[in-house]
Amino acid sequence: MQGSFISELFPKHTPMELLIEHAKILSEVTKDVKPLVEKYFNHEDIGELVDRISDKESKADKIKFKLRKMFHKRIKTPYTAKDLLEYLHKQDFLIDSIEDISKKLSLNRIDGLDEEVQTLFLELVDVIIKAMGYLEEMTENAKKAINTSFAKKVLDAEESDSVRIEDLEGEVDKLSLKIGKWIYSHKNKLNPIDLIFFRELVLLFVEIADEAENTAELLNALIK
Amino acid sequence: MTTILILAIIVGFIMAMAIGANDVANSMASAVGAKAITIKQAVIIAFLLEFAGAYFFGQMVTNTIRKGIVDPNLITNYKMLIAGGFAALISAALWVFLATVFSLPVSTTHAIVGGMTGFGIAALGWGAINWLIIVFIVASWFLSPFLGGLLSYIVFKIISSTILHKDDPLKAAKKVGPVMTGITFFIIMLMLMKKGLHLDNFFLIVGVSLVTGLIASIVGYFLIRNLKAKKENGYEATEKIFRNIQVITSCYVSLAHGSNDVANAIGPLAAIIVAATTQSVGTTAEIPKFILAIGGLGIAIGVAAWGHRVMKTVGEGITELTNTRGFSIDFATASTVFLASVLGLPVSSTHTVVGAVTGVGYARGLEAINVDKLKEIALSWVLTVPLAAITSGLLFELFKYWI
Repeated sequence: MQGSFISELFPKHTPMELLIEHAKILSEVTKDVKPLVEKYFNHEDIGELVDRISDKESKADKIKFKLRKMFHKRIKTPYTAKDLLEYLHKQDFLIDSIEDISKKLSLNRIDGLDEEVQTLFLELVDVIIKAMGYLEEMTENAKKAINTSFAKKVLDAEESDSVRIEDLEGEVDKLSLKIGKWIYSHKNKLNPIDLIFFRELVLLFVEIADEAENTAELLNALIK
Repeated sequence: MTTILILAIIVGFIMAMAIGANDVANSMASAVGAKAITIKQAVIIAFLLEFAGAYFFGQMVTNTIRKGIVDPNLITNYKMLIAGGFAALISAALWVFLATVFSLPVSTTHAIVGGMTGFGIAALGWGAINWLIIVFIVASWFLSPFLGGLLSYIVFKIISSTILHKDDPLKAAKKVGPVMTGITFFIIMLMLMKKGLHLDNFFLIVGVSLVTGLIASIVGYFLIRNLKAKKENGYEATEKIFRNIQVITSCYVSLAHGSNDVANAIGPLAAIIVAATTQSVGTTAEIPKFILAIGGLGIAIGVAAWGHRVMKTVGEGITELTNTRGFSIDFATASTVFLASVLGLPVSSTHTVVGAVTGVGYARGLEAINVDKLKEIALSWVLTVPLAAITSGLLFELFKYWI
């Protein structure tokens, strides 16, 4: 005897559950960046952390495929499949970018980064961690929005988080400018390849912050 | 004739048990899925209330199945009715069996209506079928999921606007919850007095129903008034309130299911018993109450013996149903099925549940619904009736030589 077909009306996993799982991975890999950068600055071995981030990225990919596969069947959700897949794509891009940063760090060691720029860079990482935390919260809120039948309170919270991420993106811009100034003020002191390498790293973080802002805006628009 | 009577009771009883094993789990899926009741509680509720629903309210639908589909004036030989009753019952039982084993979305209601139609066509030709009744029945199959869907949509929207969208959902739920409980009791009492006890005094019926609803509201208010929660957990506390209310609506579902679906087992059984005992077509004879009791008992035993297995998969399979959704689905399903029972229309309670689930989905209340499964269910509506009719027609051709 099998079960009731009523339960088959409901997919085993909902798209929002998978997106939250995916967002959690994003938050986790971003938190891994802080010890990674600290170790990098201290010239310690970062191999283990790079592998860990890579493993998590693979896990995120599996969720991505699962979610895409879910939409091969026709399922009705309060959000359109197109919007959810676009959101997934953006969130996945962020995880990929974090993995890119971790791999990039393993390519080249930079000497001569003083305490001032190291502090600025770590501040940049902290801001990104905060932004990803809010993004995770927003994804959870998008599920909560369904549970509360799109209560204004939840929609307002989503809007506030989106504004916070926007503000953090502004902070990243300011920090990147400061770091940029430091880079160009050291053009005669450091190896040019190292300077380009370091600049690229900063630009990757700027790109992540931009994309986090876009992702938050998409999510905010999606639940309204 | 004694052998025929015993055989008919055995087949009808098996059919009722199959309905209990399979259909009850479907109709109580939202209550079990939303963790409002445990499987054990569901079995106890179903055992008692399916029986009560069948016994008190089952007569109208049973009469439709027994003498509404095939024109009884054209049946000249009571043996023909006995053979036809067996053919319809066995063909429907076969479909219920297949539905239970393979988890197919087959409706026992559709199967039995198809079975009776098949027998009528095989025995007396196309002209013997009361097509107007068939049109009403078929229309109700489309109307019941639609009505279930519409009602669940409206109920959920009311819950959303009066509770979930408020700043303090718990405070709002403490006010609205008892009103919902009162309305549920009002409807049950109204139906019980009108159709169960056959009372005719309008003012008495409405008055007693209103008082019952009011008492239920007051009791509900006192039971939940001290429930406290931190402001951020207001939604969880609201769901907790509805978890308690859902216990009542799951009783309502059981009662409604028993009232409608018992006819699928005992409609043909009643036809056989009346024909065998009176040795006539017996259109004017009343259905003996013991037949309703047999059907009710069969469903109840079916639930107790096998229903828990099906419910287990429901309980584990549905993770996204919250209690406010479950309540909307249950209330809409039970009200629609109950209304159909009162009108004597054999509707599929399972398909009404499906309609109610879709209604909440359209109110943006569910995270995801499998639309492909909905299509599969819709297709089964089209297929079940002709397949059951053909099976029944063939069985009738076989049985008419033996009886």
